Amino acid sequence: MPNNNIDIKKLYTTLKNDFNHLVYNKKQTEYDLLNIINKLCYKKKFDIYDTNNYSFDEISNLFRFYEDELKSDFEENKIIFHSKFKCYTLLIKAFTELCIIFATNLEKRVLINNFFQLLRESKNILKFTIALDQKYINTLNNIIGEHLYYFSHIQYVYTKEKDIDYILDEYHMNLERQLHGFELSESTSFGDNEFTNKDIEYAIFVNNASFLLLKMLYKLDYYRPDIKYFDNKKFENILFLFHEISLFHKNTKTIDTNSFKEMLVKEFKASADFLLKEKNHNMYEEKLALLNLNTDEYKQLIDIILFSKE
Amino acid sequence: MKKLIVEKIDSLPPLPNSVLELEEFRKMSNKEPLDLLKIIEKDPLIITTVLRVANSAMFGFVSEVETPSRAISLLGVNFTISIALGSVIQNLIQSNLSAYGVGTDDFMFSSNLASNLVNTWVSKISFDLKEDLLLPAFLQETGKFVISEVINDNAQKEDFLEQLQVTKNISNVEKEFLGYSCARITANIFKHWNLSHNLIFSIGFVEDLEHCPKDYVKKAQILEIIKILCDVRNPLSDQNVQKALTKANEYGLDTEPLLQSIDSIKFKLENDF
Repeated sequence: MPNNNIDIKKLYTTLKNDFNHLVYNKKQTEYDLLNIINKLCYKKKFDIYDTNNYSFDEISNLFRFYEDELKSDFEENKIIFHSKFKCYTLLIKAFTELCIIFATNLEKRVLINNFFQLLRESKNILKFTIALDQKYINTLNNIIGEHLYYFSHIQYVYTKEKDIDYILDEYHMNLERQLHGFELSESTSFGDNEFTNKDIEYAIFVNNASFLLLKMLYKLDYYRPDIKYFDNKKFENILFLFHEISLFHKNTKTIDTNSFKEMLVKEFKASADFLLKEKNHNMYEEKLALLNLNTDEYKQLIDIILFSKE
Repeated sequence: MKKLIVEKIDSLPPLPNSVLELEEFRKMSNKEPLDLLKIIEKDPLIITTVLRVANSAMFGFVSEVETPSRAISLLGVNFTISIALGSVIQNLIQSNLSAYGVGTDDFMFSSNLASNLVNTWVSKISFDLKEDLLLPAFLQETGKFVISEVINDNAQKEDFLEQLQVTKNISNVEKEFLGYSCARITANIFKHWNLSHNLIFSIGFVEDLEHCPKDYVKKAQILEIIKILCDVRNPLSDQNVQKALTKANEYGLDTEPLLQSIDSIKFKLENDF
């Protein structure tokens, strides 16, 4: 990387503008994002993508490269460190956007989990090896948190041939991950970002959480219609957690799975409408794109979301 | 002497299931956080250690990390596995290391240092190698507990310590007194515990490349360099750093990333204290 702060800032500003332009206009493609990632490697060659395959080895090397750069600059030049840290966070954002693209690609969505593991590993290595100031720790922790509550609902959960207790535990853990993520980001004041609106972030969290649970219910209806789980202890854990985080149903008693579905749809719709109004962010379209990868199992849920949208 | 070592190895308690389960889980291509949680939840010692580490200041999690599930969410799967394995081994081997003139804390420091080197240095050589060597590097000095006991039982502690002072080469002194190096003894302990071939072969042929199967040569070379740097009596001493760099050169490994890792670890250690 350049060791001149002006060059690093120039590199960052140009790529940040390119990135924002792509994301704001929803024009980002895998190619564009890889291009930004390559430029962030600054003349160092990392073959992270080759003939339709991603090399986790090379992605790891890229992050080790950044960690080393940051480590030596932290010791020698705090101004350059600050600029490179911004490049590092942009790099993470670019990988995150790649994961968003993968989420609607049947073949590539299996990569998401590994990508997020690598990203989280890098952030923890950074905290583990550099005595960072609180503001940088807050930035990193906010990204960890966001990844958890923005993306934990994306992962595809296989339910066929699995024990019902295990399936319910898996969804419970995903719901917990969303909660842990939101609480972590909130504790950092969303990366000390004064422009972040807590109500909007909470709406994103609730929307993703209710969507996760709706997927669970309709998936179980489709694959395991014979199993009754309403009185299952594991399901009660999910209900308990849902009531804790919900917008309108903190003290409402859930009498059966149908009433639970109704509550979830209400939470989903309210948060989606709020985000559409306040942020022009269309959660309906976003979630439908995810469900459209598995139209058979989610046919009913797709209809419900389409109906709520109108 | 050989008989005594074999007796000691045979008398070791069986390895807790949690270690075997963690090792199996670590090797899986698709690591489900829920499966890791189910392994950890069975062992109170692991839970305690994972929560203690997650709540340490360096990670900066403002709210208290109260459950293993939250720790996995925030630390990630791989980090949690490393912490979990460390805590089990620490508890398992409660014998002393007086023959080496060090304590259990020194041993854990060296073992964690080895993991740190694998994470920061070996990961630059290859992601797969890093995955394969994390556990062997962390555990390769386990045999020292058996050696220490044997030396103490034979009332050779003073002589052993004196030789360590004179030669500064732990492996040579181990061979001189027992006929085997720590690497061989550790490999036999792991054979006793039915651990994986990767673990037994990678560790067993350190400093014995002549007899090492071809597939394990590179691993044994890297482990040897890590062993030098994580010398339980003089971790990261200038002399050992120089020795490790010379070895890396001899084995045709790029010394630049190794040196970078050493420097950054040293810097972090200096700042932590």
